[in-house]
Amino acid sequence: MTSHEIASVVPDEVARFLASGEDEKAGESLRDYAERLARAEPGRGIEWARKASSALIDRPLFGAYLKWAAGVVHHLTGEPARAEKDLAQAARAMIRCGRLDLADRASLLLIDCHGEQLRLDRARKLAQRLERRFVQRGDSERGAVALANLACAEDAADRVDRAQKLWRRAMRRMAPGSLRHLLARANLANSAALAGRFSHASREHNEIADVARALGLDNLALHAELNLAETEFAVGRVEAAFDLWHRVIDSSRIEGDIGMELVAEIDLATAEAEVGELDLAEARLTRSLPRLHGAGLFHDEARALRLHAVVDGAHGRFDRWRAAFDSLRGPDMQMQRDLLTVDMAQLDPTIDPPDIVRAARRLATAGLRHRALLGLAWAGERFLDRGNRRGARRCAREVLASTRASAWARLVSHHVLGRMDGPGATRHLFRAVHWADHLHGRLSALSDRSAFLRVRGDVYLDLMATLLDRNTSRDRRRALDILSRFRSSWFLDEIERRADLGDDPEVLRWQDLRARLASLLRRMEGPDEPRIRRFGVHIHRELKGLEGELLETEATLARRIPVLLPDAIGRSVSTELLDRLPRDEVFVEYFLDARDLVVFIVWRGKLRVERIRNAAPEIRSLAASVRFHMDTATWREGSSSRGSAHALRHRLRRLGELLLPPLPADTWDALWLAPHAELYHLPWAALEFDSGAALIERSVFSLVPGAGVAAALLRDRPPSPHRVAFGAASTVELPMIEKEISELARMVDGSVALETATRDDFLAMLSSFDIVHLAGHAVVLDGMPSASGLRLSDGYVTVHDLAATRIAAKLVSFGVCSGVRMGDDHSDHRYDSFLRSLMAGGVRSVVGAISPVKDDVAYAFDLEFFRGIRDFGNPGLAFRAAVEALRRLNPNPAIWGNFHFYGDHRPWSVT
Amino acid sequence: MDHLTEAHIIDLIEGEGPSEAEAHLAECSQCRSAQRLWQERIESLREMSRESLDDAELHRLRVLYRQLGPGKDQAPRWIARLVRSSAAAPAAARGVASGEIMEYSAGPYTLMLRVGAQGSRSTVSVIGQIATNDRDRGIGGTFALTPPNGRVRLSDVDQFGEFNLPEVAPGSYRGTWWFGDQIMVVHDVEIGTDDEP
Repeated sequence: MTSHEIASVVPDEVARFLASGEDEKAGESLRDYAERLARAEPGRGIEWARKASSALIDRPLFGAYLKWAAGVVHHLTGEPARAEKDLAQAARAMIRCGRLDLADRASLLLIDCHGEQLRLDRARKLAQRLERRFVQRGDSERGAVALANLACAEDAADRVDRAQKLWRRAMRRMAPGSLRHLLARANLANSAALAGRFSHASREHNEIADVARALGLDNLALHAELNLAETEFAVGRVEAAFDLWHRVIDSSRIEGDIGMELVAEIDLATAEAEVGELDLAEARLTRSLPRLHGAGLFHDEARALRLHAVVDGAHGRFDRWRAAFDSLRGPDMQMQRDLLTVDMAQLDPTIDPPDIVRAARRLATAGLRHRALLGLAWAGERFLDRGNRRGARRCAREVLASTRASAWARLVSHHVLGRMDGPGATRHLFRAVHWADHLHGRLSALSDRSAFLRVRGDVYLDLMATLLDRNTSRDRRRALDILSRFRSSWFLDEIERRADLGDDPEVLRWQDLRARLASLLRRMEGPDEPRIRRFGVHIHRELKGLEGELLETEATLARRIPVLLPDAIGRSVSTELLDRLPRDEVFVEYFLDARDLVVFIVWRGKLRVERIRNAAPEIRSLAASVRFHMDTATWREGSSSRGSAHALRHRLRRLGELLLPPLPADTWDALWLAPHAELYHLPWAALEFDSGAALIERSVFSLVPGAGVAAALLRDRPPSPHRVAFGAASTVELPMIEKEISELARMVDGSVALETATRDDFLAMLSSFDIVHLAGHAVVLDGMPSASGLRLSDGYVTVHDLAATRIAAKLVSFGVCSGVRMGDDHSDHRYDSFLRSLMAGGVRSVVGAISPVKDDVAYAFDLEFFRGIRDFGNPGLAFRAAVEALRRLNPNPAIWGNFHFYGDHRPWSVT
Repeated sequence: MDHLTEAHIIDLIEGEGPSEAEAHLAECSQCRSAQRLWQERIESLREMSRESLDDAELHRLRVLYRQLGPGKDQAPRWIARLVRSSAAAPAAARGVASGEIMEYSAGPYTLMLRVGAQGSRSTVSVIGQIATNDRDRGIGGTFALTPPNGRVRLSDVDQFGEFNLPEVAPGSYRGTWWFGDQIMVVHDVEIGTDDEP
């Protein structure tokens, strides 16, 4: 290479040293230059390294330095194989020049490169050799660097304990406060975070950032902040973590450190995906991917491509991930391709199982055993989907035989074996349910969590179906317990969580998010209610973002405060219910699976199960029709109303034929009814027996979310209420509200009435009165029930506001539209409706309409209901009397069947 | 094999029918004739689908009305007129639930449509009821929703005039009801779309 050509590769300063014959100084300067270039402009750095690496130069020592510098660039830009080659060549060239000391220094980085490619044996041998030689030369600090680099390699292969020991050994030999000491300390803190010692890690990263800044090591300070963001996120301080990431991104941009900036962007996108802000994450990834490619940050580009594919998968889009897979080209990217295969195996059912197995085997060879076993577990699931039972069994057994399989991999494998009807299938399903309980809310990686949410229901329901097929007395009980665990465990769980409303940062964030949700609703709500008239896609998107954050907060809380299942009440739900249900009362729970209607009936100390084969599709179709008539009833006039009533009665008769026969033929005094999913929105009071009598004529009844809640309510007698409050937000369009409140106040002695109640007034009523009634206007979102709001005079009270309030009320009644409606997702979470939020706060009974209700109808019902309360002291009887009175006024079941009584219908203990 | 149902024929036209249905079609002239009829109907619906009405379109619709409206052969055909929608919610109701209700009128018939959310899914459900005061007229037939491009959605109309189309993608559709030789066409049905910028 001519001097002119050298000048084109090296900067001026290096060229000057070369010109004066100081090759070693030139080489050292060149290495520093390469490091700066790789960090600031990775793309240009790679271009430069390619040129430098292939340069032929007649100055051997400087030529070796050129290779070293190229190796540094390739190492920093995520190309360990290229870096390994350059550094090995550099070391050999140094030895040929007789400079074993320099060869050893260049080899230090080789340890890292071996580690990144999971060649642990090579890394260990090299590190030991280098450490010994440096110590012999009296350079114990560089010996310590060899140990620290080996620690990184051990860490990359998940050998965390070994890595920690090595970092500690290394730190003892390094000068405290030196750059190397700080780097080792930072690595150790990261490792502590991985081991769950977050507070220690957080403290360390904070200190490292301060020290680095004081020493002028801005790059290291930013690194420490980047690590700190991860730690803060891991402990649930999400806002703080997001602030840190944004700060790192801004600072890196100012400093021109594009590598750091993009790493922070990808970390932030990963966190956004984890908290459910998939749209934000996707936008960030879409912005960052071309920059990552342009900058030549291949390792981070691969990470971003994988995440992008998983976000797509979580959205149910599987058409783009194969393109991402194809773009991860070359042998260096094999591991990334395999990791992506395992991620997507969980989400995309079309992926070929042998491909998953191959990816899993390679990951196992590379030392990533956890991910490999998860891949195998999912290969088993996909084999079974395709009818390959042998392949499925082999994969599942291999996973379960390994001591390293995670709870998630075990769940999937037990589920596979449980679905195969082989020996011990039921035992496997029980184990799968055990792990599903254990994992609820604990999985954070987006692909794992999305897949868990999809598979969880099947795990419980498969076990329930198996137990019902066996149909022994014990199995029937266990089936009801499983259904309760799946459908109504939220109730006890929420009551327990409410005891934790202290200064816990996650609980505070939970409350803050709910306040933001309420203010968002206030902002969006106008006189013409655009989000209701149309679907409000844009607003829904914004609301969904908040909702996603709230659910993530829930998950974080669940990680720390384990979910309390109904079993936690001491005995199983079925045992508790069988013991406590009075002999003259009936409990019935209806569950629709894909084909059948399953009915659990508890009556006179016995549990019976009826399975009505192939009834589910017809019931679903009838339920959809019924809901259509209920939801359009306030709209209809004249012939339209008559036609609707005629069709509705026909549907209700047919539903009565399908749903009511399992009830005991004998007389009973009261009925507890737990309908799930589509069945919830039926006008149960209006369902007809064969005789033509409506259910409301037969006895007092109430709806409950499931056996777990019924068992919990039956533990105590309902106390007698003393303080009664009536609140309203009257408007000109709804003239009956004002009248209703004043008449109710006259009817109930000593009650408190507010015709223009504010948000605070209503929440205060809930927290200090026994019975609270609200008359007014409600906005209910079927697609996002938790964002629904009750309009007060100064704004909305949302479902989340109710969830955040300490509630004393035992009975709440709503004189508003759809006050006890639930969402359409049938996900059975606690924010599904106003009523669930209230019950989870300790309210025993909630009364209201499931569909829109006219002003005069609500007025008539509310007055009759409170007249019954005053006269009977029995909420169940009061409800029945009010419904009957309304029926006499208007025989259309869409009007009088619209009202539900939810929860405890029993008479109060002292009237 | 029995004759193909209308749903099977539509699936075949959309390229999604089962192979047995295709085999039956090759052998059965009656089903082939039904398939031709549906092919023509669907093609005509696709051509007619438009989102807005400018002068030229209005003129076209008038011409269309003359063609489709009550003709010499007394075969009743109507273009439905939007009477009201939940844009003007009933003043005397104590609140609103998400979803949209639209009421149309066409000759002696009224059509009520409810478009509802389906949980957090991106699709919506469309349920409707066709009613009439004229006791001599029966109710039944088929209701179709036709997007500008894409698959036609069909539902049988039952004895109460009801039909149910779950999982409809938001967009602009043309609705068509056939019952015997009667046809009702509903233009520009906006389903589950947002009116915000």
